[in-house]
Amino acid sequence: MPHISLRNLTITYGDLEVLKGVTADIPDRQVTTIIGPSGCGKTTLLKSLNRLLDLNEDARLYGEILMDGINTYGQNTDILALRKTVGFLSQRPYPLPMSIYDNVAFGPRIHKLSRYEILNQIASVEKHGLLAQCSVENLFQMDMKKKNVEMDILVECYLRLSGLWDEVKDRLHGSAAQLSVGQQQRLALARTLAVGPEVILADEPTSALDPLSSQLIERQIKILKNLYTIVVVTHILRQARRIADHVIFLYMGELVEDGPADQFFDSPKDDRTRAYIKGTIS
Amino acid sequence: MQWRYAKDWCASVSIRSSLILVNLIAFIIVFVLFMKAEPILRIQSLGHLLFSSSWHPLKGQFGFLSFIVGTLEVTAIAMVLSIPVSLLSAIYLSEYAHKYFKGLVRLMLDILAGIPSVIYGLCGVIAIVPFVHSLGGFFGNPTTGYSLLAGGIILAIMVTPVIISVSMEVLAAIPDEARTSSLALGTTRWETVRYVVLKGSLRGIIAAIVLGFSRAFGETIAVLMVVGNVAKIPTSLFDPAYPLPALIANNYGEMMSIPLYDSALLFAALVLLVLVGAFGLVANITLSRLTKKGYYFS
Amino acid sequence: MEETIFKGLMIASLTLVLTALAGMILIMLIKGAPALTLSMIMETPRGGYYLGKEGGIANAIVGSLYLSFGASIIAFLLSLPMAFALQKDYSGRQFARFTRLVLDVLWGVPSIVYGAFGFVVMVYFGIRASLLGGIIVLTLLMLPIMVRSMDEVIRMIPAELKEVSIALGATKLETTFAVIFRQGLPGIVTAVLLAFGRGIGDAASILFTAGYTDYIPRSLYDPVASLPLAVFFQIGTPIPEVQGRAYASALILLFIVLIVCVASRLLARRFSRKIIR
Repeated sequence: MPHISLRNLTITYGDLEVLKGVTADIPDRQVTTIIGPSGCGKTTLLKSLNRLLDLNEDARLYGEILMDGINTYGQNTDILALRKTVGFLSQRPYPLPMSIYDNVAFGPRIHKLSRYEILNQIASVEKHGLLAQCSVENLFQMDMKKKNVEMDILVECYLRLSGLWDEVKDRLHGSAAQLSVGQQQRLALARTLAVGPEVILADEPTSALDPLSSQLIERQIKILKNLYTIVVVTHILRQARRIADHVIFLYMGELVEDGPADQFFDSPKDDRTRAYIKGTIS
Repeated sequence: MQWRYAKDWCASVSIRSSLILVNLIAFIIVFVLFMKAEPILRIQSLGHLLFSSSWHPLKGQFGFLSFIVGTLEVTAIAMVLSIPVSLLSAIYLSEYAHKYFKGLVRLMLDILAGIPSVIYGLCGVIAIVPFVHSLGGFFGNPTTGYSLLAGGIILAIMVTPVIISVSMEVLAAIPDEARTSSLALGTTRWETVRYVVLKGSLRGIIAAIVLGFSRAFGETIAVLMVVGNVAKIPTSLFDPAYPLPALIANNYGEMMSIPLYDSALLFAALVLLVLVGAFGLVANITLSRLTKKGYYFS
Repeated sequence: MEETIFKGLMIASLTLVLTALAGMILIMLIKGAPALTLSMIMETPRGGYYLGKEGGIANAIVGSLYLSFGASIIAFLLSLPMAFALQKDYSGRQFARFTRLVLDVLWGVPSIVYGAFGFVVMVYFGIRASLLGGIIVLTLLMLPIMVRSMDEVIRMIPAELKEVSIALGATKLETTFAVIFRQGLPGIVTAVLLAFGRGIGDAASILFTAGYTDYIPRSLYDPVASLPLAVFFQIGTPIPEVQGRAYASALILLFIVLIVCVASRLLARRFSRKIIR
């Protein structure tokens, strides 16, 4: 069963129609990439998935976005809970104006996660063997009477999960602004994961990064897809080839073609897709 | 969860309504002053109040002309002294000076702008008044030194940092491309400044001057301390004058004991408010368009 | 040739401005330093501030601090929500623009007008010249300065930073206080100190509303002395000792303003370590 389904999704800014009746499925626990030339509505689509689009007053949305079968734009949607379930990674990392530790702990704190919820969340990550090097058993034997010990564990877990722990473990309480841009982006990833989402949306997550940092982020994405449904917007075709399991191709606000990555890249059905893959249109 | 929504909603409503409070305060200030000034406007015409110089509160005669002229003259002297100095300094700082020197001077200008007006007044009493006194003696114009000129000099020093820093913002808003493309055509630095930078920022510089003017216009204590406060239209630079703000400040004590006196003084306050408000409005609108940034008195 | 002349004039102008600053500080030091003794700071005047030769200016120092701290705290509490309200998360663009203009004009309103307004309002409510009256008027004076300076800083914060917090499931309120406030903290501190410096030095607004007294006020309804008025009133007497008190008051006032100016820069730098640029 698909995790997220778009049903005839149309988004307008004033008179401008950015997305025109898009219908597509986003499969569970795979990397879906949304590709297409710039200005074709990729970011708008992504932002509609966790209702960040609500911040833009001009934007109007028609159609449905179903998540696990429930319309996220329905009357009774708990927006805060939706955003907790659907994390967002922006193009450039914007560390919050606080320490590295507090950046990761920010989400759990505003959602007032209890010790029980936090430990449960970590246990479910651990179950997938993603924290092999972290030896969670040891963590669980820590002195539980200590204040905020669960938050310490959480911060460590998610920093490890985003591949940043070894670089920052000695300066957790230093400013996040002093990290390099690549490190900041991985911190943003940890921050997003820390609230325990099921879906991660990433808007060209490597476009501000150097090649090495980009590679690190891509590696983390590939690891994380065992645990999360990941949607990556990118305009780099090669990146899409490297990480995608499923592809959605948008052109001028229309869905041209979507499907499994092998099929999409090896035997595209639409002429425009073929042209885009060849590089004759952009 | 519900609780967080409720808190957010309440906060949104109260934050929004705080803006209404701001506008309400402004409205109340204008309204109260107008209501209080209204009795005198009912008895004497606006023209008579503004253009008669007979000031005899006990006889019920309130002609503000000598005070208005006093204010205008003292402000005019300040502007004449301050404008060339301010503009030359601003041009030097923004076009020629080294970055670090600029930062240092900025700090000093901030300090100068932040010095309380009573200290300006005190320095005026100590240094400027005796200076004007001897200057008057030199020109064969016996004076106590408490005069229009002394007030003008003090005001000039007070508004200079304002004009300099606002002008610097205006000059900084001229894009560097304009400078480089002019220099690339083979003009000298000075020609670039004169024909490109200054020409492009003329409106902004005028707005900066208007801001300085309105600041000088309403200055009270410093002027009051050195200007002499004699209710007569001054005929020379060395005569004492009596600007409007000083009139209000000096007479609040008797305000309640003479009929209509309070109304007259609050009329003066209203005049100040309206004039300074109008100048400020024009300058602020101009500057916010030019620098793409909110603007304010510094 | 022309350039040389103008450059010379420019340097001369700048020198003149800087000399004025140096001259003022020098005059204050020469006149004020000899008068500034321990008893000057610690004692209240004896025999009346205008005539008595004994005593110091403790009444004015404490009074000024009461006035400006009181007003700064109230103005801060009022201006913080107002500064947030000016942002587009909370208000429509036109209304915010209009209010900004109103605030800019209020910023420029001469303090004597605030004083006259405050006086009228106090007479209406039957409040005598008092600490309370002074605090109210100074709050009005500080409010536009604080709101607009904070607003300028908050406006520069990138929208993406807000988005980060919203995307994590924070409400607008939580974003405002946990993220926007912290990111703007250096600017907010500067704004408060700027307004504090203006408030503590202003004489014309509190001339009618705070009064003057030889004593340190014991309640909000007592009249209160202040440093700027200590200078203003005491310089007018022919008695050298009293004039000495005026010079000392001026020097202390200058000192406070200088400290505030420098402190605001240092604090802003300190607080800006954790924010992104």
